[in-house]
Amino acid sequence: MSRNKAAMQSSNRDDVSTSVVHGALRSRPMVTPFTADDEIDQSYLGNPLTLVNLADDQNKVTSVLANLFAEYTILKGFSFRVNGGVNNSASNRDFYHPRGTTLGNLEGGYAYKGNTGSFNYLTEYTLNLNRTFNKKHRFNAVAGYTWQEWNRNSFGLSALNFPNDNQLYYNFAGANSISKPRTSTQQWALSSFLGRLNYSFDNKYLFTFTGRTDGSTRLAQGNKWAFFPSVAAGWNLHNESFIKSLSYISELKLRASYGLSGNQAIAVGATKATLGTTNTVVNESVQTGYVLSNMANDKLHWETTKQTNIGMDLTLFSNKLDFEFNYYKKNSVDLLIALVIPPSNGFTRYNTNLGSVENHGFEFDLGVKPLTGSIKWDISGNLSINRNKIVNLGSVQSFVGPSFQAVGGQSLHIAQIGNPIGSFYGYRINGIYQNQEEINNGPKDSSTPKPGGFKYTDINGDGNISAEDREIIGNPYPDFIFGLTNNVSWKGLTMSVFVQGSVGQDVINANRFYLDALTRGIQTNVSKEAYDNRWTGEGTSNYYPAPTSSSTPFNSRFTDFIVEDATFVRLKSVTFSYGFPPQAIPHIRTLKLFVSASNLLTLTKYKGYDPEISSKADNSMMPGVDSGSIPQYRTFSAGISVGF
Amino acid sequence: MNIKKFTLAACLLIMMASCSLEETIYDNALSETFIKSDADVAFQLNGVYSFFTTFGGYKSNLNYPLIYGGDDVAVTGGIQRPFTDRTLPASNVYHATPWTTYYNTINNANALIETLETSTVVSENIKRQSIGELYFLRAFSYFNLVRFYGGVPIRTNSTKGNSDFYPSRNTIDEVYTLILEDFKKASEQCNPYSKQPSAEFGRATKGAAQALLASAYLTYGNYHDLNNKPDLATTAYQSARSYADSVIISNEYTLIDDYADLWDVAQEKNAYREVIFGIQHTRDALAASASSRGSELAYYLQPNTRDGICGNVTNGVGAGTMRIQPWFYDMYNTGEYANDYRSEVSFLTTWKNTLTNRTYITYPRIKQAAESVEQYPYIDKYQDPNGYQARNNENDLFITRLSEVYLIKAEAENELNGPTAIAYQAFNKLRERARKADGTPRKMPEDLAAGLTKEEFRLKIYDERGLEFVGEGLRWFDSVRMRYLDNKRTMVQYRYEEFYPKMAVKTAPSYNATTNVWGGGRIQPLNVVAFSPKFLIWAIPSSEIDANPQMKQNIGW
Repeated sequence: MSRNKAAMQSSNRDDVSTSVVHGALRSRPMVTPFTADDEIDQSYLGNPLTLVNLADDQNKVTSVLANLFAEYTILKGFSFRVNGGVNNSASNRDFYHPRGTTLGNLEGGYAYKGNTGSFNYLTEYTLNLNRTFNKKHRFNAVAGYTWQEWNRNSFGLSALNFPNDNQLYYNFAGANSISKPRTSTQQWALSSFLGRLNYSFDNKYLFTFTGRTDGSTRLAQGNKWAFFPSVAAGWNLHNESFIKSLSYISELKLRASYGLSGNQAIAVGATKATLGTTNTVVNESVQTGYVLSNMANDKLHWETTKQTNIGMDLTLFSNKLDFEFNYYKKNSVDLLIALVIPPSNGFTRYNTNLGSVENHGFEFDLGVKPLTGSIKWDISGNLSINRNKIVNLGSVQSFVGPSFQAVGGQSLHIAQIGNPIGSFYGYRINGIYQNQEEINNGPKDSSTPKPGGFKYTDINGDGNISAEDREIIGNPYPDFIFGLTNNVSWKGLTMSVFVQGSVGQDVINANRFYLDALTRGIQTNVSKEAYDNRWTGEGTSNYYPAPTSSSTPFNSRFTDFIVEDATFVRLKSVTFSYGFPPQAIPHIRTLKLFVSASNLLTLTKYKGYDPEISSKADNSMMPGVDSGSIPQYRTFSAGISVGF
Repeated sequence: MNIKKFTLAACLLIMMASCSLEETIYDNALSETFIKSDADVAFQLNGVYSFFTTFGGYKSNLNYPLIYGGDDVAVTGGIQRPFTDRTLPASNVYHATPWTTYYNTINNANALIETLETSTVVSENIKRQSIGELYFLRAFSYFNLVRFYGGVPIRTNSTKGNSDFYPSRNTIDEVYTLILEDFKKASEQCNPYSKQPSAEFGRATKGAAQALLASAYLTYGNYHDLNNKPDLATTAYQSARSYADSVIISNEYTLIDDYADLWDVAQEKNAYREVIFGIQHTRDALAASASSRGSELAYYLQPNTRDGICGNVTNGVGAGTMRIQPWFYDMYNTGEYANDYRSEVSFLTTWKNTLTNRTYITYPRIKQAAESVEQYPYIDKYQDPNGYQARNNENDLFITRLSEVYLIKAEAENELNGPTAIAYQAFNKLRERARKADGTPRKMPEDLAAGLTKEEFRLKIYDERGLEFVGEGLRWFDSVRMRYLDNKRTMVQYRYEEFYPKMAVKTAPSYNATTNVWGGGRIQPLNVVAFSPKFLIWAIPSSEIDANPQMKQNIGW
């Protein structure tokens, strides 16, 4: 059981009233966050400090995990096992925005109270067989059935317009206005019959066959069930006599496998046509109305991935060096996606199976122990390379991702055949128009550029700048990622250093959309770099534009101007610890002291706060966007652990 | 031991048997089974109406092109300003919401028509009337879409998994054909206003369908004229005149004596003796601000120094986002419009902040001691001191009133036969009402005197509409459909090509406190730009262009 309490802070919305980072970046330089007597200046609308210091936002999570099993041996090596697991969690969120915050000023104090509960359980019934024949043939077989069920519910209530701010979220009866509560209840389940057979001969040849039939509540009637087999083989070369003679090899194993797996992760209720509630006004009063909420897909079925793996494990010189290699190739077909469809349909999403994606990649792990004496030194490193490519999208060539409010409400991403899913899609800027002649000779642009304005590239060459001049302008996925850990210890002292890096991925620095365009019409700040290097006449700048009175940054176009290479190498953590020798102090069994720091140093050319960030990381069609994100903290910690 | 085993086995069997994979939806209603009786129909019908009162609809975003897009206003708000100063890019998000609002309405209307047509539980009476209203909502949506965007994809079936998600554009003629058919069916199937039960007050009526038919035929006739098809125009104008007459002779509506009463929220229901169709808003206790069903008009249109004018928690002040162009104000306070009661009701040039006891004046007033001066007058039609929040007020937005039907009749008659007595008579109905003022009759505005040419009379109608409906969202539509004296250019083209360039000084008015004289120009300078054909039509929103490879953008965007 665990209980957790945290103060929440909104980070990834572009609304200055709820995002501290956006609020701070976009605040105009003429305003100051504090008044003359060092109070927070509440008269300046959207002061992010009001949000940090005045708003009270609490989230409490309580969760209970329990697991229980019983095993009955029917015969020797043959048993029946029942396993049950429960995960029950409840969270309560309370917040209050008093007068002085943007929201509090607008509504006369704004309180919210909400809870979400989840109850998930798993039951497993398995028959297990474990037998060895003639000391060389080892069998291990499992057959069984599992049922997993998830239940979610939530309730939330907002209240506003309080007589004063004294009672925070503790007294909703004091509010002059209470919104309709929001409630939700969802349930889904997975039913599986499964079987697995492991066979090994003489500890040299290993085989595994598995098969499972899964059924999901979320998929359409008639398509709920699917069968997923797999086969794997391994060869322990180190148990072969011709290797055994080589004393420097401790382990050498070759592996290969092929199998199918399934994915059923689509919105609950996606197969059904549903109506949601809304309000409207009839006869001068608010009335409930029902509107279409989900377009049914009665053909939804399993997304299937065919995966091939080959690999090798190698350990040399009495475990002083170990090396692991993996290659994989995955073909996923009938992807389950929420397809963005044109709004003229009256819906903007359709949950469906569409297209296929291929992933392939390599993984290398290397461990070295240069010193094993009184000073011990371990080095381990890994390197992974993955390539992702869309192979097929059904009847379409491409589709765009959801629109992004903080970049002029446009789609920033695209799924396009032959490219990674969620590639960045936009215009290219090719410098700054230096004079009218250049504009006259350039492509026609409906935004009527002036000298000092952005020169958009006419990618399709039709003499016009239009939506057709967009192309893929960035890849959110790295060329490779790596990690390196060093552990050095001497007597009780241990030093551990972890470095990680990611090379070649692009990030959309969405904060720059407002800060670097030098537009005046909307109430926003501009970055110092953009201001200092702005265009002031022919030849003064070919990167930053001249300031304009326009209120639409980049003419509401998403361009490569705000796409940056976010390659980084980061000193992720450093830890020093000292453990006293056992029984060094009476009555104390173990005593360990440590100090540790994380995110000490980051080497990157990325202009934002943190290259390792994504505002909408949960959406595969919105990767790699940094919009008002709160960067990862640099933390320093120290501790003592004592065992009696 | 055996008993334990038996119990265990029994439990397992029970648990496994309960493992059904049937999906149960708890928190949404299922479309197929929602309507079980006549009473359920109203809830889903409410849903189809609901989009208009939301933030993406007439509550907020739709007013950007409709009201802020007009040449009569000067906008200071950053979000709304590109609609006035014509720097709006096709990808502007506030441009996408109207499109979505109408298409959501259309899809929901189609779905409910399909449900009702096949329903065996709904009575014929309710079916007929509800389907009539749904045809009205579909036609009304397409009528707005075609005026905003030109030929748009026509959808007459609800979108399902096997629908073509990527429709191409239909022609303007095809869209009008559907609009006129749907409005006609609505006019046959909807209740007349007098027979409408009060619980349905605000929903579409026979009169609403007829008034919009008149408006649609008139606009379609203008479209034919602009495309040099006078024969087709004539047919359209004949229908426009005939449907306008149907509304007038039905005696369902009357011109309210006191023009100011139309916007008095205390007697809003009374206004519907004249208002034929409106978007209803009300003080919404169930949601706040942007998500409420209340109106934002009083907040955005009133000055930010005038207290007690809307529900703003901060002293009930407005936001002062939208103001009136000084040249426009001048037009309706001089010549034949001098001392017009409607100007007095509609415009605001002075007010007092009761908290600071300070008086404010705008152009063209002359400053007295200790008064504060602002450049632009405001629109004063929308006020609600009892609103719940800044963006949660009572004020409805009227779509059409009987006075517009009179002007439609006058305009259609003029296009057909020139300024006949019939045309003058219909026109002067408005002048007559204006003279009644607040109960103390005035001499002004006088009846329009005979002797005008057809073109002059048309321009008079345009100007009369400019005042009568200021702040009601008709100006932009009028400016792109009506022609100037040359019979060729639309009013918006004339405005940018001739009217603005001829202005001697193209700046805002500025007050000289020493001489007490208003100097400078009479226009917000940002509005003075060169004409482009894209001023006649809005861009297809980028959310549609991006997601739909069949969709072609409008010319100029």
